[in-house]
Amino acid sequence: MKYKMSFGESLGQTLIYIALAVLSVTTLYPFINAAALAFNQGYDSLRGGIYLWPRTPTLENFRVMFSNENIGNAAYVSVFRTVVGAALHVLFSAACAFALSYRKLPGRGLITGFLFIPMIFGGGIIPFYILLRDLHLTNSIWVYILPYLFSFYNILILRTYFEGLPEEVKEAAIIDGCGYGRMLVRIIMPLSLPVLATIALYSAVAHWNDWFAGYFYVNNEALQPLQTMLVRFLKENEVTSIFAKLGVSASSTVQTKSYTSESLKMAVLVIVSFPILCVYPFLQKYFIKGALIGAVKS
Amino acid sequence: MHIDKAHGIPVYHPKAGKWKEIKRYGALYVLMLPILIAVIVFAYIPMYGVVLAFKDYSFARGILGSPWAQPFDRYFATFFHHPYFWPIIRNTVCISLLKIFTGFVASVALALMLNEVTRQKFKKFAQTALYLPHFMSWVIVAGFVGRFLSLDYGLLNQLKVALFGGETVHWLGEPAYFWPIVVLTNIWKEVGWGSILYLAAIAGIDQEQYESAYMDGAGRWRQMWHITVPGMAPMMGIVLALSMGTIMSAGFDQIYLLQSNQTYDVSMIIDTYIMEVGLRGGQFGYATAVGLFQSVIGLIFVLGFNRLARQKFGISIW
Repeated sequence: MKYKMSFGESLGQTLIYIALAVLSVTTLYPFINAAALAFNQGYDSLRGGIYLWPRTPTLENFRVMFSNENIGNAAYVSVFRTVVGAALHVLFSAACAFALSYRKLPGRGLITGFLFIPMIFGGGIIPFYILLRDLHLTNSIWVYILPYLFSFYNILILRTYFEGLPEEVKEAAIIDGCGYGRMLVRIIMPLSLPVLATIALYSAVAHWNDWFAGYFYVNNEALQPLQTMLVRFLKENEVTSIFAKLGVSASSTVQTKSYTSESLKMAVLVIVSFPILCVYPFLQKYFIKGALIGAVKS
Repeated sequence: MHIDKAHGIPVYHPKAGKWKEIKRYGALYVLMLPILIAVIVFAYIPMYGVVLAFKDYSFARGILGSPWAQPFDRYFATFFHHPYFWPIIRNTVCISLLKIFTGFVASVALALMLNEVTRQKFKKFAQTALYLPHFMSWVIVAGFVGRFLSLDYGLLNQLKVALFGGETVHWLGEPAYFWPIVVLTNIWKEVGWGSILYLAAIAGIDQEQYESAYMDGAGRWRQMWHITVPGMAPMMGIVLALSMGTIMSAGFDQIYLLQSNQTYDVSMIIDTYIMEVGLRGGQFGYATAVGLFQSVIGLIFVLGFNRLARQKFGISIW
């Protein structure tokens, strides 16, 4: 709709553009700044003045981080849980949602209700932790995967989608003698790739970003993911703390060569945010779609 | 269906049919098995652990074997009489409300602003930039915030000294600044993502309304006020109603990562308190009791708010 705007409206529009531009800069700047600092020599950064690019470029910070075996372990844990966790989450959720998409299934309502109740009522963190301990999950990498296989929200989204698939396809499969399992894998899932991708993405991001489980449920340092390492790293600068520290990470107190604990922190920050930054622009539309499906359909 | 011998009439027996149906769908039940097992183990079994709120937990005896606390509501009494009880409640509720309302206003405003942008490329760019912080964990954001507010090389202090002179301020160490910091960083992180729902709502508004308004001589501002905002009203209502249910949890990640010893009076919320006494302090029974208190109050809020929303505005979550 093109029409001539009054002066006030033109001014308003200009202000809006400026405001949005400024806001966009504030969300992008911290990442660029962190990258600049991570690629800059630590002691040089102390002099200040590093904003958008490094003054004395170096890979030292990253080299130190990667040679630290704790970081190596943490990276492995993070990648493992993200890939395996998201894959299993999607697989089992899709299987369950597919079953639930059959309206004639006996007990369907009951089971749906059964899955819904934990959303409003739960035992709390402490009994959950005790359970994890009793199951000996607290020293296993599966502690990051098994408790997070289930999301009522995701199952609902998948179920709605499966219900919307044309009946003819499913019936044709049955007529051809296809069992439900095979139907799911060979026919339904290939037809549902967008939804599956969206759910997988959400699950993957959640796994990658989770620092809590590793920090509070797992004592074994070798089993903690990258985000947990970063938290311990950040908290390290707390001078006194009522919350007892989980253990001292030796590498951050060493201050020789050109790196400082600050520059190392920046390097870890970059390492941890890098995968999402890479993946995000390409998959943005999937994330948005997921949010909208959830909101509109429910 | 079988023939009733006494009367010679066909009788419909639903039970015989049901078993057949269940067998026919057998494979489907198998497909649901992994999730069902996971739910039973990780969601329903811990539910039983709620009894810990009334027991004197002994590690050796486990949950079942531990004796009941004397008196059984001992933990609740302790909590209610704890000197930190009111500060904790106050902090939790205030921080929650502040975050909910500022976030709400900011997201709505952002949606309105984005709606006014006609250059698609700029709009896409702005949206990409603004959605980004939502996908970063609070760990990363806290890292940025810590640096931004840092005493020695933080940007904020540099700006402050350059513009206003004076000393550098230890922002994260001052109780007075804690709530503003929490609110502002929350907006920074979530305003973009939060605007998605409102943009969707705006997209659903009938375009003809704008045209007829323009015919009647209304400019963009009036159109926004009289068409766009009312068009978003249902979405705003639902989002607010849903948010109210979360009043009792003010956002553990953010608070835990941004707090410091100096700010405990204003930064301790129920969740961080449970963490401290429970997982750190090992007082399982007491921490479970506090958690139970939190859940019950939260549930009351959700139910209460839903009823209110239904009566006053005709919208409901279920």
